[in-house]
Amino acid sequence: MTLPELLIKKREYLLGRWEDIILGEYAKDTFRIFKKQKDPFANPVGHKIRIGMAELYDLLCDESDTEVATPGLEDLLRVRAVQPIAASTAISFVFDLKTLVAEQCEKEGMDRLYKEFLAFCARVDAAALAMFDIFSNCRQTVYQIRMNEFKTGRHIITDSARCSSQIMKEDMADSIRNRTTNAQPNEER
Amino acid sequence: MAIPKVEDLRAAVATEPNMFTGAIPRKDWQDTFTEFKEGNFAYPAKPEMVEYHHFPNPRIWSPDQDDWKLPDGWEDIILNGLRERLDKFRSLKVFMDICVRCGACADKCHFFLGTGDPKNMPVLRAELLRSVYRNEFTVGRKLLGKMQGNRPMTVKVLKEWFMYSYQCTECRRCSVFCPYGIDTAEITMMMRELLHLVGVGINWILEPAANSNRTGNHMGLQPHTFKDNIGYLVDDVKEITGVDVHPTFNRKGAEILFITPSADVFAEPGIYTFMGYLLLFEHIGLDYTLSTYASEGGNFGLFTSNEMMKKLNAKMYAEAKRLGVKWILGGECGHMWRVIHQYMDTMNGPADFMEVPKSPITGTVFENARSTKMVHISEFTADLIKHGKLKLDPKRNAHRVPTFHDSCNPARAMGLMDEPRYILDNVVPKWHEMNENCIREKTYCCGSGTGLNTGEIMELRMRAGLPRANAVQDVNQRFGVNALATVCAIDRATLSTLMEYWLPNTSDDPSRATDVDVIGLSELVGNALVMDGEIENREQGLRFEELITTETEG
Repeated sequence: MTLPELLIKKREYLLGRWEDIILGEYAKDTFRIFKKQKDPFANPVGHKIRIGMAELYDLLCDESDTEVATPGLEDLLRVRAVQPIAASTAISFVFDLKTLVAEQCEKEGMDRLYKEFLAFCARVDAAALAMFDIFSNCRQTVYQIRMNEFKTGRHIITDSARCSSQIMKEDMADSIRNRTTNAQPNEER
Repeated sequence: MAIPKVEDLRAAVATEPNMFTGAIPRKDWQDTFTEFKEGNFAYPAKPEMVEYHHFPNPRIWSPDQDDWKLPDGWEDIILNGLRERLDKFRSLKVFMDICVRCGACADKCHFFLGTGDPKNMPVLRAELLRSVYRNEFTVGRKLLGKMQGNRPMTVKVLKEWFMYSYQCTECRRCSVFCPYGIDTAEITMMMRELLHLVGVGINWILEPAANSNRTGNHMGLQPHTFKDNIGYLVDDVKEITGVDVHPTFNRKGAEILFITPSADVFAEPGIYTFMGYLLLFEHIGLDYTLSTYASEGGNFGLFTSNEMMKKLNAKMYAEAKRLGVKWILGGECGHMWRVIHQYMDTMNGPADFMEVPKSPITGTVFENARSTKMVHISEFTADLIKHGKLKLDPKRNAHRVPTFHDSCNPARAMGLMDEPRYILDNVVPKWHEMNENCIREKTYCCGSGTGLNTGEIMELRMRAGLPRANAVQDVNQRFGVNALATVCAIDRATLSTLMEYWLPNTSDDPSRATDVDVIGLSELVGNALVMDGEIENREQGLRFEELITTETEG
């Protein structure tokens, strides 16, 4: 059996154990609910973790697949990006898969497949880097939405004008400013 | 050389993964205490705001410091406050006693589902107060003591109350599933009230409440500013539709007083909703006036104390009396309607100086508002449509494929569920419902209500709003939904931000922040209204967006 064959054969088992590692970050009662409840609307975090991990698993198994940013994985990282956890913790679950796969290889007596295993690890590492980019983008979005809230006057106390035409003028001015800035980055001081 | 394990390496760069309480709760809930860190609490009230309300213990303090500078004898102040409220509110006493911990509410709270923190299970959040109640006020307390989970009032308990009573938006979804009908929101309200007795509150609530006291609205806008900005909106309505609209202010003898959240007058996207109101009232020739004194529908008193709620609510009725109007029409607001339908009547009602609301256009008598004399804009509009009094062209909204978000308070506190849907049926070519467990009385909160719509807890808000965003994402993917219609000012503001995070823009248009725009129902009405004297082949919507005027498929 080759490693890719093993990964396909053990997909459900490995995914289940991998999922437990992330869900294990939560309290015991939470773990039980997030693990058991399969309705995506009654358990959005558990659902997004499940879908995101499955998509990541499949792309790690498929050597022809190089697109890490699948919708499900992006959603999973979007969940992680607003949890009060360190960035390293948010991403680290991907490395746990190496350990799980190594265990399986050993169990199946597949020690000879170290080259295949190294290739798999390299894919995990590459995915981790891509995931870090996705995670950073999510964090950027958090900063951006704070700014957007401020700009739209959704929360501020102000006595400046807020009306459709004013907003349209501001948007136009913003986009002109952005274009100018992008066109002449060197002139910025 | 030994190869370090991944876990060891991780420990070297990050502290232990910490959930909202600061650490993974491995211990019993009573032994796990809150840890305040920048980002997990809303900023405390400024001393001048506390003073303004004549609340006790104004001071500079911060939840992340050990010493909260509580007044001497604070434990007695809290316990006496609790005793007083148990005597005053029979409901509180019942809610304290009857919970059997069946757990039906446990996984129904959006804060629990988003944070995974067990203390956000409504049953456990309430237990934070119940444990103290049992210890002090029940017969079996001496006998059962800690075995029953009873505990004395300590600083740690007080800090827990602050953490979790401000991780509850009083949305009451949990109450829908409670077999005893326990209103957990009222338990949160009591915890917040008790905390105010020792000077523990947040600025985001006390400042708008102070503004509302002073100038009549949360924003602190003075009458001339309020009037001026509506003037700008009138100009834009003219430019977009070619129609002159004629709002009046503080006009005695008007038939109807129109009150809406001040966010409709000043904040985006509420202003577009306001333009919709202006067009609607012009369309039917309504005899109405706005007030620069009662210039706020929202009532942050609901999030502070029952006395504050009563005071802010009274202002609307005092103004109705002063102007001599027959009844009040209320705009798209959330908690204003909870105050009106559940509390107004026993606080300031019945408003017998007014008449039972009767639509001057259709003659419909709004029996449901017989005592409060206040009618919801969606009830009013749906009635107009039902009687064929509005000339509507839904195709003008063909660029919008909405879904409808039931705002917690109108849905669960006043039963407003069918009217907005009936309006949608008539003002857009097509719209789609979200999953049935996320709508109507089971609707999920926006995650930022009850004064939690503040920037310093943005991540928390995004976590709490996930269950709602997740359901929107589903209809976005399945049906191409690109608009989220709603009837609440806080929703319009906070859902916009929520959509920007969970459903970021995937289109080619860089000026868009999200794939799903949040939109007030009355804006859709305003766009669909065919006005007398309007520009021929009107091309722009109320946001100056391009309208689709030709026939579309489907």
